[in-house]
Amino acid sequence: MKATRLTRWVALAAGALTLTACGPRYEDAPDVLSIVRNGIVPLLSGGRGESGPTGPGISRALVEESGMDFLYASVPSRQSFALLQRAGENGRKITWLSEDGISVTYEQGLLVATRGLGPDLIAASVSGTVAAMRQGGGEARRVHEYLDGNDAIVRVDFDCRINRVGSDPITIYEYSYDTVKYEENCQSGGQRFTNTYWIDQAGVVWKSRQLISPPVGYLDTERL
Amino acid sequence: MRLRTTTILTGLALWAGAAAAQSDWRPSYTTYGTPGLIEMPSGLSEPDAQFSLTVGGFDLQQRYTMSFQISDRLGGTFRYSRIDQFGGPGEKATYDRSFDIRYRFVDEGRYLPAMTVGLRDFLGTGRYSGEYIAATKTFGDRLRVTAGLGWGRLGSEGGFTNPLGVIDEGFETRPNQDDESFYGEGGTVGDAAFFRGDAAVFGGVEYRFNDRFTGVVEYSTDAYTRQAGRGTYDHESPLNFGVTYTPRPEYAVQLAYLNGSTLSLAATFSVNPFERPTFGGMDPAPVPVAVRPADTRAALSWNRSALPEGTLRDLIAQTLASDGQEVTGVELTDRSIRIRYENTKYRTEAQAMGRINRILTNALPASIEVITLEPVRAGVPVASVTFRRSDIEQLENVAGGTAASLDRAVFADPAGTNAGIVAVDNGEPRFQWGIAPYFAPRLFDPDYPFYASIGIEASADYYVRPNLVLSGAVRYRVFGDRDPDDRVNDGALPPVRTQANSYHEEGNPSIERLTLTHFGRPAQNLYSRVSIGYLEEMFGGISTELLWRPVGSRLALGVEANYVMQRDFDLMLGFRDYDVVTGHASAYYDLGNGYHAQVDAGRYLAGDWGATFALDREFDNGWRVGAYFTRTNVSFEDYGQGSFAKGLRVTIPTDWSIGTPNRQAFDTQFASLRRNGGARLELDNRLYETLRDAQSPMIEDSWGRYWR
Repeated sequence: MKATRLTRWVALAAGALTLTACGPRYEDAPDVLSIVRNGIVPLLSGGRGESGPTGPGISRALVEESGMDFLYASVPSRQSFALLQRAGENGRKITWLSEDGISVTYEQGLLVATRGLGPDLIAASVSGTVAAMRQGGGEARRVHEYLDGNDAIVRVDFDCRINRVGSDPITIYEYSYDTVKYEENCQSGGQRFTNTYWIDQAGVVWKSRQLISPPVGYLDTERL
Repeated sequence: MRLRTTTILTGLALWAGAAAAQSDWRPSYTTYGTPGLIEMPSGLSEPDAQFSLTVGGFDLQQRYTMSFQISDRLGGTFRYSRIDQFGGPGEKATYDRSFDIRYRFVDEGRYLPAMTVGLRDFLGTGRYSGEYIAATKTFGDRLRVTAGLGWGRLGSEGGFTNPLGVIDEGFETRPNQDDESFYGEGGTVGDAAFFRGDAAVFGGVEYRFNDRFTGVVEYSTDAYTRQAGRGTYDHESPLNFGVTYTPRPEYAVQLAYLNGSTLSLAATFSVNPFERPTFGGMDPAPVPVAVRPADTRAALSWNRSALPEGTLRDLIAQTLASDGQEVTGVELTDRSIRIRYENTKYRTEAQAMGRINRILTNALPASIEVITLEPVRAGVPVASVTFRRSDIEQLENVAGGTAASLDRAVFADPAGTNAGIVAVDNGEPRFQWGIAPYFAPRLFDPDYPFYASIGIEASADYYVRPNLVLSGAVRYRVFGDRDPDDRVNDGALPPVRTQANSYHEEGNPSIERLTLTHFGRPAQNLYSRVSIGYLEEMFGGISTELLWRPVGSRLALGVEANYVMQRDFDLMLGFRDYDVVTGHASAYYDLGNGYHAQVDAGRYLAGDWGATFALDREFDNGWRVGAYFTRTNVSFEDYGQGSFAKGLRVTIPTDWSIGTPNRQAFDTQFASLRRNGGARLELDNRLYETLRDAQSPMIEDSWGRYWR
């Protein structure tokens, strides 16, 4: 009896808070509903609200018309995708940003950071993998850094083997590329993952599937 | 920052399919909300820092329990129980608080079981008092066996002469804890009874059918002597049978059949501060660093006719405001910039600094190489951290970049450096007001276990200067009327806190507070506060405070002196005829490894002298769990129910639970009844807590978020 009354009160209070708070002080305060909508619901449903153009909506003509560089990215585990725009360049690292606040950073086509996904890749060291791929395959060491639930950086060192799978031409929105497919198998303790890259003769990674973090899984990208 | 095995790695392991078979079989919870079987404890502990809430019991007894694994080995519990028909059939219910403590002194090994010694209800009125030593061993990944020795209530069934009698015959008899006079007002440690009287052997078996269902059988040595004797409990058998359902690691429900007569149910929700639901948080991506072309870095100055200083200052204030950073002042030179700002968005100052630095690389002329950030709290700069712009450019998205950024940052005290700072209008209005509903819950009052008042609050602040604020709030209560108090005040002390009901009845609408407060920095490492007005619900007057807080020091010292008068029951502007000089000398110490201690010694509101001791476990992600108690020169009898003031407190930062950046937190206290002894003025702007999160060492503690 008491519990029902309490529940009713809480519901009433929460409802009242979203409806009746007024004055300059509360203008910027997020209401409970939007917190739930933006913060919690996407987590439960595993997506972050697809924004930007949807997959089939992109066309080569539109990309050409804009005259800008784009990256088409998707996170299979969340069934979400987005068109990312070039937003920053630091040495050989390029950062791409989506409209809804997700960024990914590549160093010579290899993923070295993400932001805005939750279990993000904070930073990575991939120079060994880059060198091995240039030689057509080999061994490499790779370092990933993650931010844990207690705000500490966790470092994981992976031992990787890079293999040239073979010639595998691909087509991305009407344009065809003569690419070679590479696979990178990494492990650290009992943890394993496999990254896949499609690279042309000039060394450009046109398409890839690379690990972000275990909870999010892989990131698929194609350069437009 | 510590490197530890964490959620991310756990995720890695699971994802790799290498499930750690038996280590994920966590202890289940008793109807008392502690690790164990059904009613009997086990030798196991919860994982470090685990925080759990349990509602358990049966028709005539409900136990609301909060347990916390204080350290890897030490666990503690606070429990609020409703015991119906306590005096016998038809008698009214009694409400009772109890505390447990337990220590695992042997870890489970290949041959050794995990072993724990524990005290149940060692600090309350003793309704549940019992002590135990328990051992638990896991066999394979399905079977767990527990055996233990219990005293007190845990030795009341099948008891035999206490083996500790070998040491001292005094152990063989236990004082009669049913006798009300033994515990008096409660709250004292019942050590006269610990491990005394008959002992009994309890035990049980847990068998895991699958990941979700576990069966439990136990031999219980709790005879429910008092209840059975008064005919409110049927004790037919010492055996209890139960099934535990664990749909997810954080939820558990146990249904059991107790003593051949009674059905019990226990539901537990547990959460671990180390495991943030959103891992690193759902903060949107930052602005990437803009790198200067190599040939412009060496420039000795910038062209002020193309970009005047005033324009640049305004530009900086506007862009930083877009990320929740309110700039109050800027100093510009040819090669450096110094910014004072108040972070209104991010819980950690480290993350705010990382964001500001990245924005600045996009906004500053190329010649500016040195960036000094001075976070402000209550209008006063409280820290100074200096960065090199080349480091920001070099360490973005680099493995090891977080640690290197901290190594290269220079921490200092910003005192006495107002020279050169030009005030900036950040667009924040000086006058702020709002009207909103309020919700004020109060838990575990003996007469109203779950009580809340709901109403409307109008509040306003006027900033005369950034560090001088006139602040007021008025409330009108709509729901939450209470019956007049039938508890009498014994009158041994001035009634400084026990007239809450009179305030409640007469004070609607009420002036919650009306104060003028000044914050200052009189000297290096020194901070000050003066507040005048209606300071809290029951007292008004003047409150002054001085805090000595050196940069990077684990120790801080403070003094507070107040002269206050008791407010009228109608909570308008008048006062009653009680006034007092009260104040404390305080020492704050960061013990390291996430523990923090505080001692406040001085004179309390009723004129009593004494000290308050507090110990908190603090997590870098903002969680805090702590306990405190106050002892003054007031006797237990004069103090009344509870014997002395004590309580537990929990803080859960909002960004931990919802994942988006903000500076709010959920705070709650489980305190003993408010009595007149050991009562302090209730202020929410004491210096130490106001300044602390923008200062060393808290900035460094959460540095993992710098590049987030």
